[in-house]
Amino acid sequence: MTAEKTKPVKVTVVGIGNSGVKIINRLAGLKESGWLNMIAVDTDAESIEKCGIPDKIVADMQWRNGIGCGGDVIKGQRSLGRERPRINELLEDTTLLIVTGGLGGGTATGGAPIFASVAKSRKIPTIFIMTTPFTLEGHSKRRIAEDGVRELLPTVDVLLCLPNDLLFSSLPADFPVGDAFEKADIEVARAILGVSEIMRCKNLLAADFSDFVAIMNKRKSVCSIGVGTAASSDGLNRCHLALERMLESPLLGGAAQMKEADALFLVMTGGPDLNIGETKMAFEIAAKFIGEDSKVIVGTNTDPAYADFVQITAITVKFDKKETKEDLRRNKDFGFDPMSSPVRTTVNNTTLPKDFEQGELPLQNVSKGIFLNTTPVNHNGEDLDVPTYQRRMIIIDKGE
Amino acid sequence: MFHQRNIITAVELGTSKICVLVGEALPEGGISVIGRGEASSENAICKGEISDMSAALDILMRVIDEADESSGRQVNSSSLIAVAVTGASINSYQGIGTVFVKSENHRVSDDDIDEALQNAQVKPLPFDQTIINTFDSYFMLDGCRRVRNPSEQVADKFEAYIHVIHGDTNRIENFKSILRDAGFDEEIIPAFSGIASAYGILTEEEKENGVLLADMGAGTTEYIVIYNMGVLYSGVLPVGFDHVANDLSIGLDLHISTCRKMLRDGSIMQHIHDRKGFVELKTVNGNIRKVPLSSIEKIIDLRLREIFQIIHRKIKDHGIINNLGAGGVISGGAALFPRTSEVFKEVFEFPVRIGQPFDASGAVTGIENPRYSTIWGVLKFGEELSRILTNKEKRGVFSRMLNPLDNAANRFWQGMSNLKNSIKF
Repeated sequence: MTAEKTKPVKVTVVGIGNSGVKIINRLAGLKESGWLNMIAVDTDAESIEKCGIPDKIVADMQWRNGIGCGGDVIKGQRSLGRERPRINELLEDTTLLIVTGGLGGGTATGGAPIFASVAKSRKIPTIFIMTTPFTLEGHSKRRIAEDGVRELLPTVDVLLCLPNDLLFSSLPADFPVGDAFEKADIEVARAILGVSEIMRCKNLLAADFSDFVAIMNKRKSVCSIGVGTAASSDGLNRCHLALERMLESPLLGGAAQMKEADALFLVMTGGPDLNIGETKMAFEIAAKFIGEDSKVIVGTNTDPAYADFVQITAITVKFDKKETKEDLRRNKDFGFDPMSSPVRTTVNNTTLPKDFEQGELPLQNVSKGIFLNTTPVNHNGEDLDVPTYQRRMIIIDKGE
Repeated sequence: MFHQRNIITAVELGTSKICVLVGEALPEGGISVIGRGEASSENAICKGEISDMSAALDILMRVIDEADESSGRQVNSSSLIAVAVTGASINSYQGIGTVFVKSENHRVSDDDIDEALQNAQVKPLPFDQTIINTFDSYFMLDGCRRVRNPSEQVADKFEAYIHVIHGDTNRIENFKSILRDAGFDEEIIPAFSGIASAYGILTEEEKENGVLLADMGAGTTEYIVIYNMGVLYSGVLPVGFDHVANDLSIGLDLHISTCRKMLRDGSIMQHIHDRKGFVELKTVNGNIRKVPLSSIEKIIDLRLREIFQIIHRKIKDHGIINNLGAGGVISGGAALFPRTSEVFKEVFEFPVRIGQPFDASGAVTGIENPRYSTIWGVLKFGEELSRILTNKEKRGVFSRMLNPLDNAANRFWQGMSNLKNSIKF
């Protein structure tokens, strides 16, 4: 028997659309991001040109001529759709795909589902970290973003939506605009870095992607990310400082978020100099901010790129109390929600609303395949043409 | 010296393949295969019964032509045509005929035996049923001594136990009429596939000590118990190896042809041998799909186990489960799949061998395969019958070929009605 080969971890980060490219650019500027495989994709040649990383695609040069989509989702979808073979090539032996971009624009909103579907067909786990537009951008953009979310949800493993409004909530009003946007991009870049660290946390304290997906897929949930870093030069107690910064991080939405979270990922990354005392202390302090009922998954990792400083990432997950994903699915099957629909018993109301149509029970359907039109074979009241496992009610794993 | 060649043609219309064998009965005994034709049935036959007559006829014509060519245009001079019949309608019963030995010395004469056999067949069948084959099971002398051949024994009375295989008249007639359509004017002899396989592949020793033969084809599984050279039990279960493929296809969302191929090419066994956890399959859009091997094994095992368990139960209910001293023989296309014989062995807890034609000789080679058990058996059956008819030779204990008396349309047998009484062990 030959030994099973495990593929080396290769995380690909794709920045899509104007804001995605900017985030990628910032991410490339962080020295800790060296192990990530970064790709910038946009329909706008100009925005791509500004980007400093080697792997960049001007999507659909033939048709768009390097001119952006102008906020048209259909155009974005078409352009990226034409790049499918190239995307497929780029995702060769990728183990995790992280896609970032700003929902509400044309390229990102239209193009992100293309990445999701390519990744799905290649069986690559995906995390989409998308920003949603500012309130000041108006409700039309918000609607586009919401449609984008709806399209992405079924195909991606994890979708994190970061409201842009949050990014600036922690900044004073007189903060320079240019710096503010730069800071926002860095925040998202850091968040990406923090999430991607989960993938690497296999060597020390194990918290890996499957944990992450298991939690995220359980229920419809709201999550937030906080990342804090501190260098040794910042002071003696760098872990404490990193934790503080993490709590202050605008995307986390304050320490209260941690307290209320149903599940929490806490990942600490440091250089080779990270010592056990620091780690212990940091997690102990962090524990004070965590609510009693929340499920906590803790991971630690070291990387030479993090020499002299530590990074603490917290991802809080708050389940929607009302409905689980299972509920969502069931409701769809039945066509009505038995708990929430009001029972109206008026007799004269003969035309019942559609909600009241009787749904089918989601039973395993009995099938005969090629023997559908043949003489049935009955033995002891069983139809032998129906697969034995179906008659015995045995669940078969269909594989993937 | 002019020598009349005795040509026998055997036809099998199986769920997976339509096959014709042409053989020449040798004067010194035995049969030599001189021609063969074979083609896939292409859905014209389902669960052992013809579902599309015209399609089946087209294929049959092609196959006969092929056999005719390979045998050197001998098919038309066939003296006997035998066809394997099977299908859900086929059933069997045990007939008993009692005779008091009236002669002075109380020795059983041949006339007594004939009388007993005729008495055994009088059980009226529903009018839509027709007798296909009849075989001796055993004779009981004075109600206590069980013998294979009662001839010349001293007894006051004896019973003949015979095994009668009967089937739906119209469905059996289908098999004959398609051959008539194909151009055979001669009498067409039906032979139950299970019996034919037993003829083809069982050894004398097995027939003596008791054996269960299971012939699992694509559409049906025939089973037959032979003990002390007599047929004790036989039947057909219209569930075959295609059901395994169909189960896989439904259970794993695969196309039926993929499943058939998977079962045929031995890749599953190879994977088990390599201790792989999954089977990789190419999907339509070029992606690789991983199907857990455990699921495949589970589906296959459940189905095969069920088939053998049904047979096991029937044999047990019949009270002959202990008459299987020589164990089991598995044959038919399914025997090529290694798991079949293993499950057979596990369910019955007896030794199992894979049966295939072992004594075939002649110009045509390559019939030493479980797939050809039935067709080879049909040919041997035809040879045996032709020998009995032409030579009126008394030979072979397993050779009693009794025939449907009530089949009035059977002019062949009408002329031979006396002959019937003269066939002895």
